[in-house]
Amino acid sequence: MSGFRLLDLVKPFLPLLPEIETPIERVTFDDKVLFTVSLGFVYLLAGLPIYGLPKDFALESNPFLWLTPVFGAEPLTLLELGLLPVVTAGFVFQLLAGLKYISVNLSVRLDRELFQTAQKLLSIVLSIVYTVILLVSGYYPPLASAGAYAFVGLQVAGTGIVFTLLSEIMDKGYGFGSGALAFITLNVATSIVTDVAGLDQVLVAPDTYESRGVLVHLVRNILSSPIASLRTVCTRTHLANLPQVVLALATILVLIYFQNFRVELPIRSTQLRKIYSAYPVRLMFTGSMPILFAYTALFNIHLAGYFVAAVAPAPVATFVTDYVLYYLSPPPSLVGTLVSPIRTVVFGAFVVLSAVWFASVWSLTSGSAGKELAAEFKKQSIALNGKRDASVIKELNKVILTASVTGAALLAVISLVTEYLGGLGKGAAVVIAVGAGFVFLEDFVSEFQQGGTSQFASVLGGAQ
Amino acid sequence: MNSSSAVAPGGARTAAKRKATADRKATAATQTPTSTRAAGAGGSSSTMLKLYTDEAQGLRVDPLVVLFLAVGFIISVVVLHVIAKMTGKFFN
Repeated sequence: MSGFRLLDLVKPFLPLLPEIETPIERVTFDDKVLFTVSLGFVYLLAGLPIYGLPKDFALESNPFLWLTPVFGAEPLTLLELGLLPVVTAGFVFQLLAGLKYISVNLSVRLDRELFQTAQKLLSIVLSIVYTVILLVSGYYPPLASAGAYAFVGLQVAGTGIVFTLLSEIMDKGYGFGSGALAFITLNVATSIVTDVAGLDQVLVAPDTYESRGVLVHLVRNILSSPIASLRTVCTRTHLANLPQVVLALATILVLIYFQNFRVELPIRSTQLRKIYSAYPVRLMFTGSMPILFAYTALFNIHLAGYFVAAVAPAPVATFVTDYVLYYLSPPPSLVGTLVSPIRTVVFGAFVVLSAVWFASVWSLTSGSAGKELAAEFKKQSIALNGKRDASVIKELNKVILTASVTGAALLAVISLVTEYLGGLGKGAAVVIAVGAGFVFLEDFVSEFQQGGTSQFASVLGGAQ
Repeated sequence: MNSSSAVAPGGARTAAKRKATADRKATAATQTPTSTRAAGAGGSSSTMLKLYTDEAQGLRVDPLVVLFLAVGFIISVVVLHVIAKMTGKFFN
């Protein structure tokens, strides 16, 4: 193989980029718990307001508000970008490799390393690019000097890079599951709690404070002004409102219900007679990845559009904001959904189609297609009942493709329903978080069962 | 039976079928895995996005060092906030 390869561009950066050491020996269950908890703690610490912004400045209309919950981002804090750079970089490279748009031989170790470093490099570059976009397009209020802008940018981009490395720690097996997904899940979990019972007061308009938690706001004001407070709680858009919270909780229940849907393929042992069992293929075969992908695409389109709208000449700018960005964003409320049907349909079609497309290729790009599964079956002397060896791959692919595409469409519809009812991204974030939570739980339980002696286990589980 | 057109033992009987089998084997042999997990090295699974599972060359650092540096980064911003508050109180 000769000629130019995209991955070779990464080579000069190899010695410069920090690389977390892979654990030399198995990380014990207790260490994993400690690492996961401390990483989560660092994430929560990072929800700190950016230094250098005017004090009583509140974003009146944040164009990305409905996208931020999905990526664990918090506007006007260090987590301005959340995990967006990490997730985007991962999707870009893994899809490119899976669909064979870049030439990389992943069975060669050096190529694998280059591939991994390329993802890290892209994540770092994207952190910087996104920050520059925000600064250039006037996302932040006017600041005193160029230095002040640079300082804000340094904090936002720096946090992006820090979280690239923190998710690397998690990914490399010091914690449970995947880094990016863990942070997103943590954000969703904490934000649901604060949305319901957050005690702090937030400046929502000049001289007007509201409690962050829906219940808290209601309880605090129900006696003095019952109608007004109910009205605010049900309709406010700058903070979480009551319908959003109820929707989020309902979505969790629906998703847990669907999580158990599966097709059971009859399998038998090739070694022993009359040993029959079932191999479950879940309806949510690709978990919440398709929704995460759809929103990654949306966030990137919106950032690019925001940039174009800010720097391009007027006709192009108005076209982008009035058509592209308008139609590719969810209506802000149920009324909006009904009043602007084209937007409703276009946005819905985009989410469903991108999720379904992604689901149809992800089993191939994540090494969980029929081919790999069949190889795994063979290794464990399992055969599909009533199928010949040669047709196992075909049969598995058929089931997997159907399951993942149907599952993705179902999840897309669930998150769309929440968006149409005015969920502002919270529903989609919940969809992703529940999916990730189940992966996390599986990893946690399997580690727990094979983890040997564990202090936590003896404390939590009593005498065992 | 004509011995000059003797068929080699084993495999498909016609040349066309033999070629098809050979081609299929050749493509299977040159096919590269589409993901790090397919290559047997961990990585993203069907329900999980993982970016970093191999140890690449680079500036090797301990995870704890990164963790402390990250906390340091955040603390420095906290300190800036605190200093801004203090100076605002005392000098304005």
